[in-house]
Amino acid sequence: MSTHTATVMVVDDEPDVLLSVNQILDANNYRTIKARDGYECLAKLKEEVPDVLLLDIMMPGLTTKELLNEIEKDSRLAGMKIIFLTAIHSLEAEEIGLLNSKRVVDFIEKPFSVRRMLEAVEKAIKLE
Amino acid sequence: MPPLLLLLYNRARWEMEKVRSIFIVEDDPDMCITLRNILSEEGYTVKTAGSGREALALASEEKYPVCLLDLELPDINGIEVMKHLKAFNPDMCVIIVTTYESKDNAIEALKAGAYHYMYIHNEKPVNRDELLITVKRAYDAYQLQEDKKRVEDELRWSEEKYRSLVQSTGDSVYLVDRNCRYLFMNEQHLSRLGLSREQYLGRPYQAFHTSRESRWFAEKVKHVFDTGTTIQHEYRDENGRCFLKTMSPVRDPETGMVTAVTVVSKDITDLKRTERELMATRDYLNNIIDSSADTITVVDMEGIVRDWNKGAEGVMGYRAEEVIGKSNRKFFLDPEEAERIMEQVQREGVIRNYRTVVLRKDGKPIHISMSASLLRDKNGVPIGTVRVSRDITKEVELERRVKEERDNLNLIFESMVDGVYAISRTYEVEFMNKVLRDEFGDCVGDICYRVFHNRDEPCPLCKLHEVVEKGQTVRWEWHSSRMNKIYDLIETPLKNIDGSISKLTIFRDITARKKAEEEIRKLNRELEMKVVDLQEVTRIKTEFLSITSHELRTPLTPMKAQLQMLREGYKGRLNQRQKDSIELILRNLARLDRLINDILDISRIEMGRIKMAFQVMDLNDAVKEAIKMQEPFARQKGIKLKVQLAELPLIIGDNERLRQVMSNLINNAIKFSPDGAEVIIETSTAHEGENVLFSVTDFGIGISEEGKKKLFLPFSQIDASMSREKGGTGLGLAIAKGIIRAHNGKIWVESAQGKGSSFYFSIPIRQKVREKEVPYICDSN
Repeated sequence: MSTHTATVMVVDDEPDVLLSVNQILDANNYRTIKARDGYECLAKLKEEVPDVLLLDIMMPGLTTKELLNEIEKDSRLAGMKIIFLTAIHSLEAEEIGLLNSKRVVDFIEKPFSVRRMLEAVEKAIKLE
Repeated sequence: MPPLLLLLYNRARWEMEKVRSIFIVEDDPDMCITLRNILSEEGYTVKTAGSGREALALASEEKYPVCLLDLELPDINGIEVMKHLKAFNPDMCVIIVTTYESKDNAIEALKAGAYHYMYIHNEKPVNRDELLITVKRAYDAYQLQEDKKRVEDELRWSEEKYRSLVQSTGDSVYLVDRNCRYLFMNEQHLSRLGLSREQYLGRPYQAFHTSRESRWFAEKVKHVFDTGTTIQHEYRDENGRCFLKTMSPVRDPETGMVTAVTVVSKDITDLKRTERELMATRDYLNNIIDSSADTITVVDMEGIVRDWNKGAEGVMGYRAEEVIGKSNRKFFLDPEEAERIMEQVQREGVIRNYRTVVLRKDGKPIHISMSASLLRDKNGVPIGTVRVSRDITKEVELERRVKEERDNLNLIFESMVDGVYAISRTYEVEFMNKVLRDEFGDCVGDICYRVFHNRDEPCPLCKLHEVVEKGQTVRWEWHSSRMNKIYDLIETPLKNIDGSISKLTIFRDITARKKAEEEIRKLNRELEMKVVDLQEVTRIKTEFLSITSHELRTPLTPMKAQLQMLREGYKGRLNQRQKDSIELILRNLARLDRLINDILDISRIEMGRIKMAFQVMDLNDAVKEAIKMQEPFARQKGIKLKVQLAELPLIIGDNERLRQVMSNLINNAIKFSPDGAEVIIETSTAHEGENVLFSVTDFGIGISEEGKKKLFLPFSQIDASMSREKGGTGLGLAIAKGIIRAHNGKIWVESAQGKGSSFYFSIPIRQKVREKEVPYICDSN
């Protein structure tokens, strides 16, 4: 198990998913920040800029599209990569325009494979 | 007294004095009576006076032509009396009556102005003859004197008159002798020459004129002298003014010889100019008239042609000189037209566009349209008619043809089942076809709104204005609540022969059709409602699917994550039996996930909402991936995969979906093959390069005809037990069919029971992504 100093923010409205993903990342030596929805995500992004954002689609409150627009406006977040982790099909996500941004580097469908997720995060961090 | 009255007065006085009166002045009463009796008998009116005073008193009251005067009067000397009498009437003829003894006195009296004298002897009777002759002579002398005076008066008056005329005229008047020397010149001529009376008298014409003018004048004067006739000449002076000179001879009243020439010179410059202008105007008008293509003729009240222009020559073939002065009757096909036209023009003053037929010189009849007006003299008395006619033979022919066509059209209208009618712009029915006549009777000539609609004024919906005034064709539907019917009307302008426009209406009872249409509309509305409902249902279903998909996967996600963590040792080491349990759970979790995915896919396919990520691809790449995915399963069953891939052209397709289809087909083939058997996987181009073809063949149990029919329907594994045995969802082939159809391809199976099956699909070869992909809509089959 390799050591990491990278920070990953996980945004998901489902507590069990949030917990599971954090357990996996923690066990793999990532620093994690948790957010339950878009508003919390934005608030926490003001305090700290993570290397990777693991983002759910279809959450209550702020829509993912609106959240992405806010992120695009903030120049501090220019280096942050986004990986979608969602139960939505990638074609549907594309249809609502979520895959246009260059910072979106991967799309993982739920229920996800742990190995697939860890590979995606590692790959995203290496892109920096 | 004005000269004319004076003249009349003199004449009257002369007439009055023709009653011969005589005045006797004699102091001897016997003698007086004797003289009076003799003269009275002879018819004279006699007045007598016995003394000089009495004589003078009477003479002052009346004028006597002849007086018998005794010189020896008691009161006044006879000669004195005579002088006084002469003062009253200077022409009076005084005959001195005297005795022989006093003859000296008589001579004295003759010297003093007496006319004659007579001796009277006191003892002898008066010589009657001598007396009467003397008196008669005196009378004649008096009358002669009076006549002379009268003639002189008249002459003086006449002279005055002419002098006044000559002086007051605007014309120049002058008198010259044979040598053209001026004898007289009026004021007008003096002022023209700028001379005083003294300067010209006796001087010759050439002293005041150029030699050319003088020569001309001398010639004319000589002519008048030689011929004694009056001549007139126009003459233009050096200033360009024009004169009319009238030169008349003046004759000596006694010899009759020409003694002088009067010249009256009238300035006619303005007259000439006006005349010239008038001529020019007349020429101009004549030119217009002559160049007109219409015939312009003048016919007098007797029907005689007085003028005939070039146009008339062209149209009628007669030259002006052939017809002017002749009756116009012969030009008409019906000669009585001549009288009818004349009568109508006289009655109405003018006629317009009168149509009649005339005959050309060559006998050919031509149709003309004539306008004529009455021509009057300056007192307003009709003197003839001016006629302008146009050859309308061609128009008449055209009209005839139009009418013929109209008749043909009417024949068509007659046989129509639709109602057809025409109305004029004054709402008069001009035509109605049989259908309408059967319903309303023949109403031609009646007013449409009265006969068709039983109204007193035009219908509010009437389209006459649009059609006739604006020339529009109108199609509309008329809902007659009175008759509970609906009519389809086409109303269009119809040009008549005379150029007027009528409205032609064709209409049809469409009540039944409208009711049917209304029925259809109602059904359509209901259908639309249903479609809306259906669309709403679809929308809700799609939303439901999306949510369902999300909601079903959400609990699977932490389950799968936690199980994986357990398996990977995140939560501490596990023994083999624990590991096997977790593998089992994970395997079934994966199956549940596949099932969820398949259900979602087939639902999307059925709703036509399956999404495809089309791109240019090589089908062989997808085949290889699919084989790679199925190789472990084949190995597990000892199946040999025999792969034959031809070189393929590129197609447009969703790589992942096609791989899903092929993986599914290969999986089925392996699944239904006996262990150790062979499965053949092939690709090729088929139908002369239009499609790429994939096939997978197994040598398993095969499929019955009944089975083939159900094969591609959802949840149609040939029987439920097979599903459980073989571990499928029963949705794979239905999804495959949907995906292939979304590629505009075909999927089918060839099979014989007990001998195995071949599954095929073909995809059309295309190398460009269509701009807008039409989503695949699954049909109910």
